[in-house]
Amino acid sequence: MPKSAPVPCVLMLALSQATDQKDAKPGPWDQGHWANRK
Amino acid sequence: MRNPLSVPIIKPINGDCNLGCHYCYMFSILEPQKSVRTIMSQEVLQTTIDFFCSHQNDVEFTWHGGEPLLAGMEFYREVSKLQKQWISRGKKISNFIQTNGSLVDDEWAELFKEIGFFVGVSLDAPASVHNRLRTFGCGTSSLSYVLRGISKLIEKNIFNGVICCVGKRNFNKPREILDFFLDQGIKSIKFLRIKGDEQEAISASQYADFLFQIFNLWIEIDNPDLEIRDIKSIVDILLGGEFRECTFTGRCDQFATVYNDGSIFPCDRFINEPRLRFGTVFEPYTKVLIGENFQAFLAEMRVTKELCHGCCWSSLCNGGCFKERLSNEKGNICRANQKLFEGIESALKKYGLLV
Repeated sequence: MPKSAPVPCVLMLALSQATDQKDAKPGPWDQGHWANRK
Repeated sequence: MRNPLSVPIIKPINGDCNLGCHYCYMFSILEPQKSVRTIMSQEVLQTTIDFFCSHQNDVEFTWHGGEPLLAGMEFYREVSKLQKQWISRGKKISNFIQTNGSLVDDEWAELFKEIGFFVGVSLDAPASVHNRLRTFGCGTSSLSYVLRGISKLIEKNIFNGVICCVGKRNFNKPREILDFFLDQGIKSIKFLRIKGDEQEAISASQYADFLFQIFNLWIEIDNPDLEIRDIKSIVDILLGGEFRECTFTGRCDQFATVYNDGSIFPCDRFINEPRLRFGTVFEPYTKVLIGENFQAFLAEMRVTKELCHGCCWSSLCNGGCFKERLSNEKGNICRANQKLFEGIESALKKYGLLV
């Protein structure tokens, strides 16, 4: 089986955050015209 | 699950602004009224805060314009005072404000720090594009003022990143854009496609290509502190996380834009459409919800979403932006987004993060 390329830090971080988010409450949101997320 | 009309976007001075950005959608719509500045009255402000705080425990207010700082410091001190009455009754309230940044000085930054506002700034890139497009009425660039404002906000740790418009002048400059922001110490970025303005607008396809280049640069730079919110949202969703981009939630009904007379509309992309005036903050929340206009809006959302039935990406974008679903550009937007999603998905597969 071919070995995957080394995973960039930004994607590792995204993966870990996506996993955490599954249990998080909804929002805050990003809306098209404005940003309200911290 | 959030309630309908539970995420307030407040426009205390409607579309009034101290800049005359060339592509501004507000500018063209509200220009005839620009000679009169009307700040939201104390009565409307109090009723607005009560309207949203009375039916939920956790409220995120976003203050928007035009340029919301034109409402003045006293206005925001009053906001804080009125919200404290609800906080003392156990409500959790947060505030975000989106400004052009040109008026932010030490005093404003101090005030926002004191009352707990996080501040997002509109800044185009690279500098030459901002200089050309985001000008004061006299044509002078706002750049030096905006960068001064951002530095004050970063100093106070209340800076919430930038929104950068992408159009004909910068869609082919993704690297220069990121370099410019990183040079300024800006690490949280959201992009916005310029539409409607013949001179500056780009197509959905050009914008999707731009975002895909940004995605590749984000991977190449690989700085965990650099957050490109549009890209991050797509990656998060593909990896099984939460919907954070409003356009991908399929829940346009959550957003309520309140104008300075207290009238309630959905997101401000629908400005000046009387059929989408849901009511006012002076009416009971439940009455607005069962009102004819809001119910018609919900029905139209459902019907237009059914058009997406059968698309393999509909669980990711949830039908996308409702305003775009109604536009005759919809087919092009879908094709462009599908190409972007496929490109990002394929990269995630390459790294073994998706099968």
